[in-house]
Amino acid sequence: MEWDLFIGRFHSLLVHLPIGIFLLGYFLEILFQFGFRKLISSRNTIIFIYTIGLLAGVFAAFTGWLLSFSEDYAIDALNNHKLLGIATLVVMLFVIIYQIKTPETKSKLKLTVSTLAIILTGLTGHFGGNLTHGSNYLLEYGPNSLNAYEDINLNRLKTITPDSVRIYGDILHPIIENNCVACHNSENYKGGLILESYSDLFKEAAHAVPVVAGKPYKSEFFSRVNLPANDEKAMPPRGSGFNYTDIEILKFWIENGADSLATFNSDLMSDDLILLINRDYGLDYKSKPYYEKVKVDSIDYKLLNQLRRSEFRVQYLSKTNFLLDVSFKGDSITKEQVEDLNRVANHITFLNLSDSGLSENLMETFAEIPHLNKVNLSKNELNTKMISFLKKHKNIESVNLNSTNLTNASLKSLLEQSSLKRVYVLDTKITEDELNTLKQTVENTDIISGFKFEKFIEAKSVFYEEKPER
Amino acid sequence: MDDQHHHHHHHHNPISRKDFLSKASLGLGALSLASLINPLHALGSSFKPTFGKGPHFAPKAKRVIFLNMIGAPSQLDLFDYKPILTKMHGVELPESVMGDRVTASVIAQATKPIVRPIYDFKQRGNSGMWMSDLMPHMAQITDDLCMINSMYTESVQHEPAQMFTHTGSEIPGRPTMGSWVSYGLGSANENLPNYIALMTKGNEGGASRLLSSGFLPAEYQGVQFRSGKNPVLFLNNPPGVTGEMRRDQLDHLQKLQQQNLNTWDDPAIKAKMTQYEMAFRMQTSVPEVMNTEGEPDHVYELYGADSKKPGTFASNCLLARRLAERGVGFIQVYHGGWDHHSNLPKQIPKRCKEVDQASAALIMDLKQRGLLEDTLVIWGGEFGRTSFSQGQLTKDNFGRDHHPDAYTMLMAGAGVKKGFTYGATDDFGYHITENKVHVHDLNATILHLLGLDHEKLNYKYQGRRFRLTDVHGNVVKDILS
Repeated sequence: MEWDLFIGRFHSLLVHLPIGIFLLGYFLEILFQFGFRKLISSRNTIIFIYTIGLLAGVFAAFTGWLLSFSEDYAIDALNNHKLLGIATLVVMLFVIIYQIKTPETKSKLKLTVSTLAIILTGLTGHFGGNLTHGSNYLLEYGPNSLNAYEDINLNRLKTITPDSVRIYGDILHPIIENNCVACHNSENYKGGLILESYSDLFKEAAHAVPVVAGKPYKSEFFSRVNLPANDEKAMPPRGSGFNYTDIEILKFWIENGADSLATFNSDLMSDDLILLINRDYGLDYKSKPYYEKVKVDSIDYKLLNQLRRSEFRVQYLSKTNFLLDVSFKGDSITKEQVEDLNRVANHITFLNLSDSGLSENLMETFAEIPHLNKVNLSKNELNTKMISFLKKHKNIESVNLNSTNLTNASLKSLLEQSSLKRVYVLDTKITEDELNTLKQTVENTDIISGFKFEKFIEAKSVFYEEKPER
Repeated sequence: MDDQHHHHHHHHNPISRKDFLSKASLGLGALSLASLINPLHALGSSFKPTFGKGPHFAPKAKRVIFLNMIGAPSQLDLFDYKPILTKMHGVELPESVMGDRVTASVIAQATKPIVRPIYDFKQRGNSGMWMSDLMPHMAQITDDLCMINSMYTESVQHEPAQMFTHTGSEIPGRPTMGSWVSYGLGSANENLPNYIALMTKGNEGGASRLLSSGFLPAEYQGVQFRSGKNPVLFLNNPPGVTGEMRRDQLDHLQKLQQQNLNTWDDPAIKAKMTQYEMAFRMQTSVPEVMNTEGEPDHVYELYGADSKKPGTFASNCLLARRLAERGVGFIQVYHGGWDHHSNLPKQIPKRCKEVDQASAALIMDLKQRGLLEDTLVIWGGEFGRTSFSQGQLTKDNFGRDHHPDAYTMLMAGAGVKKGFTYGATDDFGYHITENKVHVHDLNATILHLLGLDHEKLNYKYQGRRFRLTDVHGNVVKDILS
């Protein structure tokens, strides 16, 4: 038990007593001055009230003095409040003495001195309030012109591309401004912590360093905003504080170096974080398709030409993406043509060998195609060798096996591949029942087979229905 | 970028007479300055083509099928569900709803009674997308559709509005979207034109002005394939001329043209040579693609009974799939007869019968074949229709006037969200309240899906660079998957 702080904490409760009493006295003095003398009956009433207020004020000041030993408050802001409080009491003492000693003819002067005391009381109270509530507490919900702090500019986030959103400048900085700076600024640095600028985040405060780049769990700032709201050390002590999305953003930012210019990178973000940011800030960080993540150099022009001469249609994905989209234009693919294909295997990402007369034997002569993402083997007499070829490729997302000899067992084996998102199985050896069973058990892969419309009853227009009524 | 593209490069390289003069007009000063800095580069990079073929970035879609509903179907009867219209059926549309923009025909009308949608709406599929009972087949595939209820356009008249959706300008003369796409991407099939239009026989809707390549070279023009014996006019050999004779004739012609090309280096000669060769190859490729006899019965069942009758919308949808399979880049399928100023209750069910099943069948047929992965299907007209009746509202008859301020387009396939409804209109379907999509925005988005930056795809003509989206357009990122 700490007696000083225990009693000290009653300061914020007790201070309202002298303030109220002073205001009552001042109100009566004004009535007394402006023609309601009979109502008040005597100036002694006013002096009496001021005196009680002074006693209450001295007691409140004492508790405040005890509270000032806690390290929760910034010294500068605390000193302002302390000195103003003492000044208020001294002036109030002077007011009382002046009221007693001076003849009634100087009543205007008396009121002037009292007014000074009341102003001092108000100022002291205001600075005290700022100490506990933070300096933006009072006007936080007022019109924006009164609000000193910027909100996250959702409109700005909408107009810029997600790739240029700066995690600190656009999201974290406004949150810190709104939730932290009121109590952690250069005048009022509670806990020795200032959070006014980016560099402040890395300066050691009373207990620890707020942000340690790369280490969220060693960052005091991250720990504090993470504590349950009823924990004494939870920050911010009032208000809604950091929500789950903000905390996840903060964690992501610290983990990835806490750079002031850092932007979101969908490759590093968890799926949850992508969804949260999309929900709360409307920013879209869908993970890029595989073929946009991989970078390869352009390919020897001779190799491409050779492939073109050998009945392939070959295209770079774009002017800047040198992965290849290759399809076979001929009737029946030969061993030599597969060899031509193998020479550019490292560049192929889309491969279309539909209706190419590809055989199981030839399938075995294919080199590994590391970036293979979409492949179309439809209209070929293929089954097991095709599956073992496909299973070697861990980046495949879409496989078209329409009109092949694909069996249920082969498809099951293929579906073990986690990268697979879509597989087309129209017109294969698999029965409809087998397909339905598979579709019910497989979750992550879309199995697309023949489509049929459902039967329906033809609807009639509302005017048609109205006719019998006529 | 590949061999199909090579024969397109000639427009820039070697330099044409006009290009040379325009560069030379910079003066010998520029030339000598360049050679001072590096004499080897005296005629340096300034003569290189500014734009080669191929996408600017990896595309989601390789081809587009535009199911083009000419005449403007009523979005309020088909897609944009407004229960208030039913509640206030027959009540005068409040002045406050109309706002500032009022057309002449609206002013001329003494009363503007609100009309309810004539068929019931229901929420469909897993996404809960609203769709009218008028579209019972499309209603079954809503989980593959992206519905934009917040389209708007400029003109209130059909021709300028159609021209606007096709070219980004109300005035004829600019290249149409299919031409831009062919110019930007080249072709994936050397035996067929890259930009093909199919029109419903007797209810064409489309017109050759909507297939114009404008100031782009003529080879990027859309080619209409007709139903019946002569899909492409003047393609067949005249009586008495065999294929061998034609080949012989062409070989001689090519020799002569090659001589001229060697002398003059004129790109127009090269263009003519490739066009002649294309026409020759089309003599076999066109009958092959247009002959659907080999299609199995279940395919005809999917597209509906109409699909066996050449020239119907359903048959054209089936052809569109066959063209898409062969790598044709831009396919317009036109269907007219949606301009229901009067008699809407009798007319709109007929139109829906003609297009509903085949439209849905095309999308699902592409899907089951794996083609929807890289094909974009678009469905819609040139503008929308009013929520009040044009002319008298009787017990069982009414019409709806043109309405460019809010209408619906559908998209499906490569790169767009599935089961997704975008944008919203007010309670009367009159003004857009959320996520406006201008025609320029839609066109920018279509190009984006094809890997083309609408601001970079341009062509210099009469001293300025032109784009499909003029100086406007934002890609609608919200609908991208």
